Amino acid sequence: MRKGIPLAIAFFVWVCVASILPAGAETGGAASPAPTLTGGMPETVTLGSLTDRYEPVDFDHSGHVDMASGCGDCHHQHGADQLLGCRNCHSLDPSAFRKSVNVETFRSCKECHAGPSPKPDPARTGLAAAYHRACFRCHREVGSVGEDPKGCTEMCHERKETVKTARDEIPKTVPR
Amino acid sequence: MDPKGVGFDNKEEGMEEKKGISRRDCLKALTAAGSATLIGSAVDAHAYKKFSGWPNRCGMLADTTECVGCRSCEAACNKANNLPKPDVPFDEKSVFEEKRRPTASAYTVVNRYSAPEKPGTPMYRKVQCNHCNEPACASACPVRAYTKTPEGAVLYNKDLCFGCRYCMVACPFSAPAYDYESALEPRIVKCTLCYERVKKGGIPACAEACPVEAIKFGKRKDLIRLAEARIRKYPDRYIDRIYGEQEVGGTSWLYLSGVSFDRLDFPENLPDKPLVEQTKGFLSAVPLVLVLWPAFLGMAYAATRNKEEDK
Repeated sequence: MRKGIPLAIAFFVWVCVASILPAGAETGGAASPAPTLTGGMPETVTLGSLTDRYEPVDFDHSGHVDMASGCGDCHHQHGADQLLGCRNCHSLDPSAFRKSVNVETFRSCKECHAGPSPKPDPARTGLAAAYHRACFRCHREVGSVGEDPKGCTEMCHERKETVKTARDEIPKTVPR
Repeated sequence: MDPKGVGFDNKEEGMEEKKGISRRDCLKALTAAGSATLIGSAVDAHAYKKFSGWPNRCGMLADTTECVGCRSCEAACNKANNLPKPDVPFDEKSVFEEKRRPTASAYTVVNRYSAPEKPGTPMYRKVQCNHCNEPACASACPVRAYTKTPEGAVLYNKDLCFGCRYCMVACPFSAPAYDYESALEPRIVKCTLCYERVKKGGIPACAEACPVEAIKFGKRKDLIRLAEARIRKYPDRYIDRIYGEQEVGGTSWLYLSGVSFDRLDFPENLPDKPLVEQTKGFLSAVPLVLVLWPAFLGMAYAATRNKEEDK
């Protein structure tokens, strides 16, 4: 029973990564090779579609699978915010319910959560915010995220050196 | 006013005919004048056209439960408005040690509040001009340097301002800041709701920069619906109130919170009626008093003088 869940999450994440990677390459992020599958589940996932200011995030998927209580902790199709009907992904045969996940019908995050746009829809969470909210569900209480603005770069992001932003021009030391 | 004007000459003749009751007439007239002044002010306070705001005005919905205090909004605001470099960088948390308010070089600031029930997850509140539906700063300004635009922003024109700073006193949210750098060129500075960006079809810089979309930009009425839907969907997460929906007649910025708003230093002593209405009755009485009282005091003077002449 337990084996089926990682399998399902693996397919989902693989679809996510497949859709994200090309965009990451376009924005100059380090294009990583396809994730290595261990028991049908990626070990790391590179989130790199929204990298105008930061380097892509190398997300330790298998590490999170060990820590999470279930796939629904992050993949909200299985959580309280379930949006899709069970039939969209699973076979109708109850005996093969978990084993028969149809990868073709899995939706990637950005199908619903749009990337940056000049006039975003206030009623729909954007892609970056959807990622961040999923991370902060746990990481606000772990590490320095939510306590220190530097937490973002310490925990996940490396700031891009090439992009000059207002932040980069600000002196890094606090004057006495 | 010259009591020997044409109108007063006629009245003097009339009063001479009924010399015996001139004192009573005078008292009647004074009573009538007093009543007229009182009624006049009361009528005027209600006579202004009821205006519930521009229908498509925009606003911002700030969800304090989502904010993680990354200060991206502060950095984005600084960049969008070409403000000077801050002394302390934007990724520095030492600024949270004291409660800040907007200044001439920072249109918005984020303050941190501890949450004893949830150690390790402090709460944050972003402070800036709330762009009231009926702004007290605009009503206090003697030179009409403030404008409430149909888009929702309350804008300030530095060319008209002469530096009285009444707006700073009038604002219930302590939003306008004064640029003390140049004594000869007075300048109030405050958030503009990124008016220029919005006019070009964009969204305010802080909303664009927020990594968790704790700040959302949209039509105010849509945001109220969105906020109500969130409260309904997550009743354990939010208290059942949208700050800014009613306060001082409603503000463009709306806030959701998981704790009572006074814990985040939101002013809780504000009436639901616009602050403008608190002064409207008095101010509309001023012209009446200035016109009517001299007229009747003039009459009283004329009546008394005639009587003295008779003796």
